[in-house]
Amino acid sequence: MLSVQRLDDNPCRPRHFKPPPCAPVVADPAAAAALETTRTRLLLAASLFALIFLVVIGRLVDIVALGGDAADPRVAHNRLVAPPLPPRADIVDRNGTLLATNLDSPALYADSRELLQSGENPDEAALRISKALPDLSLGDIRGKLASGRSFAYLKRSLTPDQEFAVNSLGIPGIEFSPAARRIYPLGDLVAHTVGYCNIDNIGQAGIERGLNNTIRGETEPVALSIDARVQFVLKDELQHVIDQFDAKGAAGIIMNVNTGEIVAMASLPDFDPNHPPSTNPREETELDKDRIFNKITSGEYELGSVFKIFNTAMALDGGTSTMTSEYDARDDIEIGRFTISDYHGKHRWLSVPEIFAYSSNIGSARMAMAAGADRQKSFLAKLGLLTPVPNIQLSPEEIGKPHFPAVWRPVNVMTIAFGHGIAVTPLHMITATAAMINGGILRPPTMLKVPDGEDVPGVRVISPKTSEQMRKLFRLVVEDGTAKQAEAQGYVVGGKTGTAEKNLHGHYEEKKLVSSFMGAFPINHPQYAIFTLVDEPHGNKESHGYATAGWTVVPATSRIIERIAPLLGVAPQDENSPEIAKALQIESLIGKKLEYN
Amino acid sequence: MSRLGGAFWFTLVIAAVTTNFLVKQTVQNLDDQLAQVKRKTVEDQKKIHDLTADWTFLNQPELLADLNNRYVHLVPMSPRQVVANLDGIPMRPVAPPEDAAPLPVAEAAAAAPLSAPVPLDATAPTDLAAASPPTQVHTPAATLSLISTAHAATVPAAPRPARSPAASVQPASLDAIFAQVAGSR
Repeated sequence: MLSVQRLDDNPCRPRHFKPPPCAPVVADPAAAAALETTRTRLLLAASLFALIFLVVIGRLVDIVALGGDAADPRVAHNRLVAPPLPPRADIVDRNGTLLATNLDSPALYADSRELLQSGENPDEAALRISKALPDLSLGDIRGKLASGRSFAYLKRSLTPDQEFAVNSLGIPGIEFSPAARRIYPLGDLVAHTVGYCNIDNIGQAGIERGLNNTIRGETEPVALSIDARVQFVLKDELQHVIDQFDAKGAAGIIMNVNTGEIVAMASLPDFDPNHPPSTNPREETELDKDRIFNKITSGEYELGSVFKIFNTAMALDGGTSTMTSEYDARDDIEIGRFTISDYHGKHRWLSVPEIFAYSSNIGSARMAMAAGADRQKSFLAKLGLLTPVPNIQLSPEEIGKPHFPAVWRPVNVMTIAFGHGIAVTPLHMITATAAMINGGILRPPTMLKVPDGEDVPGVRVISPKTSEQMRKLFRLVVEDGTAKQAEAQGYVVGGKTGTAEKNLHGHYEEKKLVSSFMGAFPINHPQYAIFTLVDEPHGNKESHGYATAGWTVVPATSRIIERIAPLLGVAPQDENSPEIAKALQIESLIGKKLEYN
Repeated sequence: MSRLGGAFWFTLVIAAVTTNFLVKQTVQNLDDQLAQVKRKTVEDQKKIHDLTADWTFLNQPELLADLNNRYVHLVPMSPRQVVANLDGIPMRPVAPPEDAAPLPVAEAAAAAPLSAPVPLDATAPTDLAAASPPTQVHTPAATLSLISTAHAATVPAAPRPARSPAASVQPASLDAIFAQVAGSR
């Protein structure tokens, strides 16, 4: 107590009160100045550290509470391996079957400078490489190894085995550069549709060329409307027709008439897109050209009687003919240097359904004359038969341009009525026919899958009533006309045959035919149209020497439909049931039987 | 007092540093694992991609058709084998009275109208189309009864299992079927 009192003389101070500490009083002014400087420096250092910590704290708050710079790409990716982008997107069919993809296939190149620096003997190295890759020429390799240049391709697109063989040689200066090669696992099955790429992965034909830029930029697979199974059936049966009738070629296309999707498209002979034939003009052969050529989209044909589909639809829709109109088909028509005659001549007046079923050229010509040139031309133009097919996913070089007379004379009107004097592609044919039977809506053809249930917009070209009449006529041809062999039990097939002579150098060759059949099923509610064509078939014993459509592509179509309908989910019906028979009955023919010779 | 405070803060700092280190280490390990898994995923994806190409190559329709012709001889479905909708499938025929026969399937098949005698040889009617004259239109019912007849014919006649009388009665509902199955055990 005493000692405390000694510290402070004030007896009334609170007991816990401590007097403020006093700085030592320094008497020396110099020492006081030095102390002041130190104090200032200390304060400076302390505030500097405080500032640094503040910055750190601020940044921490920024990262933790405010998210920081999450967009900084280094933060997210420096530890993660992103899959390398494919050079081209895969192509798949409508069911996801792979049609085109990329496989790793490195390229081999020689860095001659490094090889020579390492003291390796180029001759010896060349010999060892040529043993590993026997298809390369020894002299060629030697030249590249001794050249002194730092880059020369030895071989591109190595297989894994070849890569291993070369790698195990261990020659310095022989390097691989990573590359991907386009491969087509189904080989020649969808050759013309998918097309192929050159070694630099640039599309050269088909979808690969037509959609080259899309495929290059895309990572998701491109889904086509093609069904690989249906494609196989089509190709298989067409090949059968070629073998059976010793034909030059054949082609076929199957289309969904309600969406315009091309479900299958084949052109024979074809090629393997993994080893496409040379397109170099110097070494390209006639066969190579024929194999690459897509008859469906590029081939322009005078298709003959199948054109009567459009002639009849034009006359019925325009009101210039009705189902009961009759035309004089007693005698051949002589016009200029042409004579129009009938193959199955009846030599009497024929009604419109009879003209269609007997495929009367004379009757068709008279129907067209009754309609007139202007109506005919504008109708064909409306169906897109006078212009290249629009919006199809192909390069313009592969899209055929129709041929038709510049001046539409009466003789042209008559011949065009039965498909001569106008040349269109099979793609034109099936697109326009789909509109004739689907209720009258023309939809552009597409090679890309249309999502299920999506409505494809189209243009009305004929009335639903005319379309119904056309369906009845289609059925008549199969029931009682030139295409009886097209019947596929349960699938109610309808169609129209056409056998045309080829026009070579301005005159028609009697022995060189293009036989075709335009069919659809089930014709009471059409879902699919199928067009098949055989180029220069030769009659045989089974066909009694005939090479016409009725003996060649018509039976093939029947077989195709029987095989593909279950794949496409078309339910079989009883064609003899009263409802179907009634729906497809032509009133004016009730009780009549078409006689056939 | 100040010494105690100093010790407290020191411990806290040590604890914070340790926790920080441990958490950071765990995160780094997880990150490494993640990177590894992602790398593996990419590798696997590439392998799957290559195998898909291989699979497609091996499943070329042409190749499959060739193998079929050589080994299994399957033929395309004929339209009459396709049942378009559920209405096309007939209900199981109603069995005759209980005392008639203990094998309801064979009985029903025999009762079904058939214009041709069905061979009871079990090996013969493998081709359903060939088992009947070509003029006859196959209704699904006729086809089904052909199958059941052929099937029933393979059942040996002598050692028939003893069944309760209820087994031959047509069950009215799914529950009844279950009850019947349970009862026969």
